[in-house]
Amino acid sequence: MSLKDIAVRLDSGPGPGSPETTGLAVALLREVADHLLTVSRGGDRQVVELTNLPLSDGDVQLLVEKLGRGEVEARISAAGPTEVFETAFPGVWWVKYLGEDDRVITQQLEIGTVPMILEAHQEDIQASARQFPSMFDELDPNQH
Amino acid sequence: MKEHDLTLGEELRRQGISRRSFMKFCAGVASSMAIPAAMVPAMADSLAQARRQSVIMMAYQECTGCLESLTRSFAPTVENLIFNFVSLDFQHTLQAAAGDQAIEAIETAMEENWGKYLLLVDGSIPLKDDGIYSVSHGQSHLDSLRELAEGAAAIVSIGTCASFGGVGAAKPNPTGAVGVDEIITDKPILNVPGCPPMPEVMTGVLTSFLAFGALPEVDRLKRPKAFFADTIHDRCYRRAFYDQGKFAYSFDDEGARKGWCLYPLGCKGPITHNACATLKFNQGVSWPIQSGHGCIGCSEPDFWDKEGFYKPLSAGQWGTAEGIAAAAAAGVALGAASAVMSRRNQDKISGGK
Repeated sequence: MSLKDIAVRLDSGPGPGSPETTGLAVALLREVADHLLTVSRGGDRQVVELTNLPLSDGDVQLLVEKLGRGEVEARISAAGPTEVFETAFPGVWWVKYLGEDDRVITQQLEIGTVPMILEAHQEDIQASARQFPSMFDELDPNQH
Repeated sequence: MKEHDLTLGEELRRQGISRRSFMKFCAGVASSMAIPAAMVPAMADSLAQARRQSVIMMAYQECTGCLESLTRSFAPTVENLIFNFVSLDFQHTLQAAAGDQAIEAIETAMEENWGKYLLLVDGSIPLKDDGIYSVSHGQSHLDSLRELAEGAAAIVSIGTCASFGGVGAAKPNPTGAVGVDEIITDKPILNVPGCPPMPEVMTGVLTSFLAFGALPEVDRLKRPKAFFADTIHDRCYRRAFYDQGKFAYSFDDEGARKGWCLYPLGCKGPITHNACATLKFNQGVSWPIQSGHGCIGCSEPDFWDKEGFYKPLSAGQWGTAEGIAAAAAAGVALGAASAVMSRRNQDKISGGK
């Protein structure tokens, strides 16, 4: 008798792999609606953290369906990839921070004009402003 | 300029690592510590101003399981960032030096960073017969700990053995093993229990120490509240079945196959404080309950000696019915509690600016 002769059947529960929804997705959508209102009135950027919630596959599917896809999508390469797309609702962004193996490290819905990870940051802009002129040292002056 | 003179921001920029990478790292840590995601930019700023932290990690009466766990946090690229934030000046399993050279490395690190280094301890410390049951390089671990603790800014006890004595202290505790805080009483000590502990907790604790200049807020057992405030039961994806009264009564009955609650099979989730239910192990692959086994309570003191792992809580020595009712009530209050915690973290961050 080998291991495969032992019949094991696993029915899925409402956990990570379940197609059922738990009600959490709808609660999250209501939260996003509130945040969107705040931001539309000139309020600060709002972030909804998805990683620590026991969302079922069904919940995630519901979020994906209801939020849809909008005009922008981007992939950022900084400490591994990060995927960003605007949902069908302008100002509601889906941000997935991934590891090198494309595993999700943390996932957020960001409500605001541009997601934090997409902006160029002041420190990096300052560094590039310092470095930029060195390009002229290398250019041949006779060409100009 | 010496490595230690640069801020982490300058050091990383020198290596061509952008602020975006910093933000991503902070987003990962903030997520695991329930720090509001909107605070990530402030956290990244503060961390960028910090300087590389000297860390001395000592292995006493231990099995190396904790180190195995700690070297597997987050995904490789993001994890590597934490190694840019600390200078691991001594860890006998990871370093090349051995014998006299290794001892010299500790002495140099202590001398150069006296009063400032972070001491990480892995393993329990035997007290019986002057601690002769656990000795390295002719020095008992009891003496070693006392000597190193004196110059440390703070101590982090990694794993259940260093925190509470763990397996070394299990009955009949032949070596008289105890955790660090039973020996050292005049330094800030933080416990990161678990057998093994969760790597993300260590990353969170180190980052928080660097970004906010202090160890994070702790519970009565000195565990960081950001990770240990909730019980496994509070955050368990099978919790809904507990509430519905759907249980597994053997490891291959209908309930087990359907993924129902493992309480009757001895799950210690309701009285165990840890973050496995949300962070999981092996880079988020799974955790004991998702694999179909109840929680054994490995982040709680004396978990080895509290009767069997397979006896339901109601039948064991773990707690009274009131204790279990309190755990259930805590679950209800969870939403409010995490909101309070987030605000507290928020205050701490903005207060530091």
